Amino acid sequence: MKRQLSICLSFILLMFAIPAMAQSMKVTGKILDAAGEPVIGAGVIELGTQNGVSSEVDGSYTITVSGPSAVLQVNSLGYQVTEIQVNGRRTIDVTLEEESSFLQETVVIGYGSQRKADVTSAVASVKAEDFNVGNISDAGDLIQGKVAGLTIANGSGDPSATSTIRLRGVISLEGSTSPLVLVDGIEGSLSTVAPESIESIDVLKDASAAAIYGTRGANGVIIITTKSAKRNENVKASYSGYASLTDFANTLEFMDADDIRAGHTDLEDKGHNTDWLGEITRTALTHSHNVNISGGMKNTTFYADATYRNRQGTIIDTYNKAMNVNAGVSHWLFNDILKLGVDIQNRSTESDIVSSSNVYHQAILRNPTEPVYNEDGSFYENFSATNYYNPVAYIKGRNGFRKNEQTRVTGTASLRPVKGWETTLKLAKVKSDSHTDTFRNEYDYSNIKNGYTGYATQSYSAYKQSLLELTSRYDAEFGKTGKHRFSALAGYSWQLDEDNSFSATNYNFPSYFFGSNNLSVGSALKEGKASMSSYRGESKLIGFFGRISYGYDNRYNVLVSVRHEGSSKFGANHKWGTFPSVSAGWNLHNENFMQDVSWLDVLKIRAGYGVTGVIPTDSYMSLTRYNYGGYFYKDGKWLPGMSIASNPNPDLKWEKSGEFNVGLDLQVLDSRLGLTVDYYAKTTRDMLYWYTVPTPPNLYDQTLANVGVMKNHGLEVAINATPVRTKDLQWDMTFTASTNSNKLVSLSNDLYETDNYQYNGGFGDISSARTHRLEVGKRVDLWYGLKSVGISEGGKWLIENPETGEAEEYTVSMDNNDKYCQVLGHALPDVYLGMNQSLKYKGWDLNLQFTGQFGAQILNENRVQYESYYFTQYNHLKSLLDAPYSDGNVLTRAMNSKQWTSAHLENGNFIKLKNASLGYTFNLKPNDYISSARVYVSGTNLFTITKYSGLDPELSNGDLMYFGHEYSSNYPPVRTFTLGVNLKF
Amino acid sequence: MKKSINIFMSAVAGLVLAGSCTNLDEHIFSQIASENYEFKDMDVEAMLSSVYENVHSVYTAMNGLTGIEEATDLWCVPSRLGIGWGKYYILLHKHTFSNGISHIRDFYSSSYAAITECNRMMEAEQIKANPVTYNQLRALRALMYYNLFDLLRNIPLDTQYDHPDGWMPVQAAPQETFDFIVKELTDLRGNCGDDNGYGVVNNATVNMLLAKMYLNYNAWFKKFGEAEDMSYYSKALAEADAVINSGLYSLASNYTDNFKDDISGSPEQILTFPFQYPYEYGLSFANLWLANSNRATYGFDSWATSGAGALSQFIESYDQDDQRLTDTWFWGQQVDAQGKEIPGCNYTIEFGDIDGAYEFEGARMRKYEIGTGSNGTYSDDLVIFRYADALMIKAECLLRLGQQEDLAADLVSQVRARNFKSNPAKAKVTAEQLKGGSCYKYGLRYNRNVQGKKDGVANEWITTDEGGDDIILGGLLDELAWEFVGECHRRQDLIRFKMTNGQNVYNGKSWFCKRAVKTVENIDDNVFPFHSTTLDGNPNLVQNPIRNVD
Repeated sequence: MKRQLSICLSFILLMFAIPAMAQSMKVTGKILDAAGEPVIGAGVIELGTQNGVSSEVDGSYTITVSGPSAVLQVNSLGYQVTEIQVNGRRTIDVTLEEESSFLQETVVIGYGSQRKADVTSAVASVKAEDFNVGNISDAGDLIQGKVAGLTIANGSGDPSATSTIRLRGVISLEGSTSPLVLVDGIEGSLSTVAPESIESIDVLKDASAAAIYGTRGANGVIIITTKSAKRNENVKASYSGYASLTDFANTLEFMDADDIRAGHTDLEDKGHNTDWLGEITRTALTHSHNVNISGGMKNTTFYADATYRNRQGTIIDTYNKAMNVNAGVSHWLFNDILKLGVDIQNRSTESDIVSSSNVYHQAILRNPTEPVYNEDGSFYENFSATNYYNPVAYIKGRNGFRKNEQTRVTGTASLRPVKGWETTLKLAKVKSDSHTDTFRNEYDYSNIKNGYTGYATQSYSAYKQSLLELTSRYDAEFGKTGKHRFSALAGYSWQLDEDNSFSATNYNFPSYFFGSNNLSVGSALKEGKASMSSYRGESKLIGFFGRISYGYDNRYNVLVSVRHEGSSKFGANHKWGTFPSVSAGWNLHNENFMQDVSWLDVLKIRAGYGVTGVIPTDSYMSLTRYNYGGYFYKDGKWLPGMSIASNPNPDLKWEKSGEFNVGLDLQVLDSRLGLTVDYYAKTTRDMLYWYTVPTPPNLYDQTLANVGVMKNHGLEVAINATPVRTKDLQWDMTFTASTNSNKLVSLSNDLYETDNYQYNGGFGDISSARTHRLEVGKRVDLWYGLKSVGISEGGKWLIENPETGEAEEYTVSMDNNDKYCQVLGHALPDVYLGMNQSLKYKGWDLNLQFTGQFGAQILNENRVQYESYYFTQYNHLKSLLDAPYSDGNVLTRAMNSKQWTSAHLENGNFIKLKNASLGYTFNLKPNDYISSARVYVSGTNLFTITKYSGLDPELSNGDLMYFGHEYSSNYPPVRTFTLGVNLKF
Repeated sequence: MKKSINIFMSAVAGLVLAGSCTNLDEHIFSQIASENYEFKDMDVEAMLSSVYENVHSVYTAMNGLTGIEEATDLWCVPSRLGIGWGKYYILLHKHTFSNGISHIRDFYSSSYAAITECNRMMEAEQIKANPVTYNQLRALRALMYYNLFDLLRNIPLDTQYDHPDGWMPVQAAPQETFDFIVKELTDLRGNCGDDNGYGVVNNATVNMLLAKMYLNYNAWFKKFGEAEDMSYYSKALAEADAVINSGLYSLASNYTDNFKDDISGSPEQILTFPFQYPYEYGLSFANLWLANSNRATYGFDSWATSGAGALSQFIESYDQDDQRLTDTWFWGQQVDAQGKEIPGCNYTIEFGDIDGAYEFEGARMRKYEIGTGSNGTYSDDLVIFRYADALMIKAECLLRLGQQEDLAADLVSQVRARNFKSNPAKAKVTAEQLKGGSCYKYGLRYNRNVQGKKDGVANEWITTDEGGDDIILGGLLDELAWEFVGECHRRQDLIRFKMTNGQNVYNGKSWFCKRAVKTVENIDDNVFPFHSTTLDGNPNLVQNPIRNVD
């Protein structure tokens, strides 16, 4: 009764209020950001009423307010909420201040983005303005040293080499250890698009973030977002280009011709004086050019860029030319209900077929008293030594190219029938074709040795990926100023990968004229010696996924996601797996009790748990596969035979990694000092590995199976600070550090019981010695071998007998002998550091990027091979003449084995100035031609502080078998100086 | 609006229900998967190759039985200065065994792969219906077990294909394994047919294998000083007689007729594995023995890096008139195919040191014909059992039994006859000669400072003079070496032949860098240790004793 009365009364009051509206007035204006660009969709509300509008695409708004004393509140995501007294004005332009960087940034979290303040898991984001500059080969170089826990190595000077990346330790023995790389939502690689096209790179580090990518997420996810245009944006064009000079940063010191003549090796003096490394190297020039054009109209945006880069290698005749095109257009229809988009990325590369590491290897081991050419001008060869050929002739003896072209076409249709609900259908096709053409001509050593007239190979491969992705997302805010923020996502993805390859080889051609362009005329084909092969394979990956996030009052955030995913690569009963995650964050700085702490901007605690999977690299591993390959003899004829390719394992299934992550974000003093700390603990179960299995009953002594358990845990710290911030001078620094501990928990289960250790590692060519041992309860990267403690009078290693502690003179029976082998250290660093210093003074900017690694021992393979008299036909390192121990004895020819010992393991600690750049941005008066111009110089690998005596302590090998090996075939690291320019028109 | 949403939702639902969007069937194109392919008779026959591939590897692989002859007094693979080799080959030569010798891993895994494939195929209906094929598989399986038993003795016995998940075999007692092999062969005896075509198991193969089982029984089972059970020599004799009396075989007129590209015409071969490059690769002896530059002699174009060399003591044991010396070995300056000297390609019989030998030290083997192009020895057929062996087994049994010793001498003389064409009188040997000592000059003989030369250190020859006088049936042991070098014979012979102190020659004598064992041996000292990988895979396996002579 009472209630009815009050409703009635209010109604009457409302009626009386109507005449008061006669005082209402119309206010118009524009909402702009600090740069003067319009802010679209900003909310303009008359404070204390339900009255509100939002700004148009040009930032304009029109609102009718109750009177001249009304107060307007303007809010927009990423900007501070602003209140303005109308004071009778009819036109009010509002410039919004950006929110503190921490809060305004959005991060890409997979199938969408999130305000950084709402993020509940370990996600790092690097924007274009923070990228490294200089001679950048791929996306990995852009963010090296910038993300704690992400190690990126590009240890090779090969112009075609790409970065190898690893996040948070080693979680798998057999599956991939590289993070999933997504380029605009589609699987790609760090080199799918040109570095110049990249807008931002986001790294999903922990499983609570990566679980939405299910089976591919266990090593983390790197999300590359390419540049695009905004609506109602003036058409812009820009050019950026650079030229670089590249040289070896350091080389090894081998015996020179005088040393040979002094008898320090077993090489014969052939009377010449040749600097072999000098003969095959040069100062290499790289130049790169990028043009991009972008703009937007009311309903259409477009973006296009093209990048051409021509890199020379430091080894003569090596090169890599790449042309990238990245273009996209989007169009909005039906009053923004439907958005259509088409994106095309094309990359074509061409490179040499010279095996740089072989050439380099031949140059360092070759006798420096031998000439390059004979007196008659032909190449000098000396085939009396094994695996020994003139490296200059090797380069000149092989013609050909390796071409690769990849095209990615993506079409998207987004339907937004009501505000907050968006459903997107994405269809994509990735086609990648490669063609390798090799011809060995008359200078080629193998042709000369075998007496062949020409040897040619043509190989083609085609890779195709088809992708369908359907996602539907609903975002809603309830309550006053979005007290409750809710977002839900559901999706389906279907991916088909198809591989085809073909290759043919023939030799003994009637003429060198044809090269590899007329394969059929070689006589080896007629003799049954030519070869031909083809392959076809496919795999499918299907996923259903969903995610719900909820935020309350900017204080509490939770996120729950799940992916149910299946792959054709697994056994019939184990095709599907489910990968859930849950995480939560608490923004303490928004709590009432923290409001008085004025120096604190952000204090946030995050915690999450998620499950991700690792997929085996190859298809068909669960099947009982038969190869037709061998032949068997029957009744005088050779008939094709068939044999089982590997032990089948119908129970093959997902390797699963469960990860717990807890993190803290802190920003103080006006965000001039920030700290992010994350701790994680991951457990990998059902670990895929080639387990040693009993024979019999198995046919082969190894089977790919899900057996082991491995644990990793670690800490990551990122600190950013701005010690100086004045009008003219700004000094920023970031510092990242990470550690990881690894432990192999088990190598057995009910079906596969194995001993608790397995030998691992080796040298390939140099020696049959093993180098690692996997042991349950220990880390996976343990060095295992002979511990040398000195050199005997007779010039052999003195080896410590671990049982007695006595030093014994080396004998061959100690090799791979458990009685003498012991754990000698570990191969992966304990601590990774990164540091960035950035200084801006007026138009000048200076950037220094350091990286460092600590705690690893590196096996210097060059010393194993060349600091020994064993290979009498090859040159040796000068250091062979030095005594490695304080006993003063040196190795003599009596040490007749290529055995490695602890003496070849070296402290791998280092700090490197990876990248330094100095730039100047011109202060241009407004003109019709150029809106901004910047020039810069940069250098990479400027110096390294290390005790390591090899070429480069920053190793890139990701193969568990060879952790910590600096391969003797490693091409030396390079140092690059770059001059570049960025122009905007 | 609502309508369009409905249409959209039903489209999604339809897609999901249609199933194509959840279909994860695997499509395989370049291999055959038994899960989604019905094998045809033709395919089943083709699977025989998977048995043969493994059987062949057991013998011909670099790490196979032919290579394991490195553990004997005939030849070795030293560490070649500036080239490589050595390592496991050195351990085999010096009898400093460890659990890391890859020869043993490869031999073990190929042998059991062959056995597993035999077990699998013998359960297939198409195979069971074909007695020739079935018996062939059964005999090959017995052959594999015979080798495993000889080298490793304490081995798992797996005779069926289907096992419960997680099944892991244990080692069978030696007697059990011996009885199994003998039973299998006894069942097959006389049921395999006299001639099933070239390269296929026949009755004489079964006889030969049984003969070997019986001949070695005492060496395998009798402890040091324990009396031999002579009845096994009689059993072996009966099997050898069965082969001889069949009248199907005779000696080839030339020794070399048995070691060529195609020996199907040799009347001597009983079981031969045919090989033909590029279909199926046989021995890689050409690659193992030839120096790189020596390839020009044969027009051989595959790799060759001067690995193996004959022990000088063995070369010296030959009679100069015995053609087998030069039919088997060569040394000295080599010439190319046009007769032009190859610079530097001059092999010495002298060998310095297994731990470091120069490229041209040691005589080289050409017993297996070295073909042109890529053929090398890949294309040579490999004889497993031949008639000469039946004659020698018979001779040995007679001498051991003390029966018809003159007949024994006559049989050996028959085998020798074709090898002394320039001096036929020398072909004849007497029982006394066969029963007497060995002419092999056993003892250490190496130059400890062979690589010291360049450092200015003088030679330091380490020699001991053990000789062969104290070897029982030493003359016969020598005959076996000259006749069967390179045929996976020697290790077994050295273990079977004893010295007067009761030790076998394998342990009791020194040669080159291999030292004699001074302690009284255990029968387990004659077997190899398992490789660590084999043990890792099956914790039920118990390691053989690891004897380390150093």
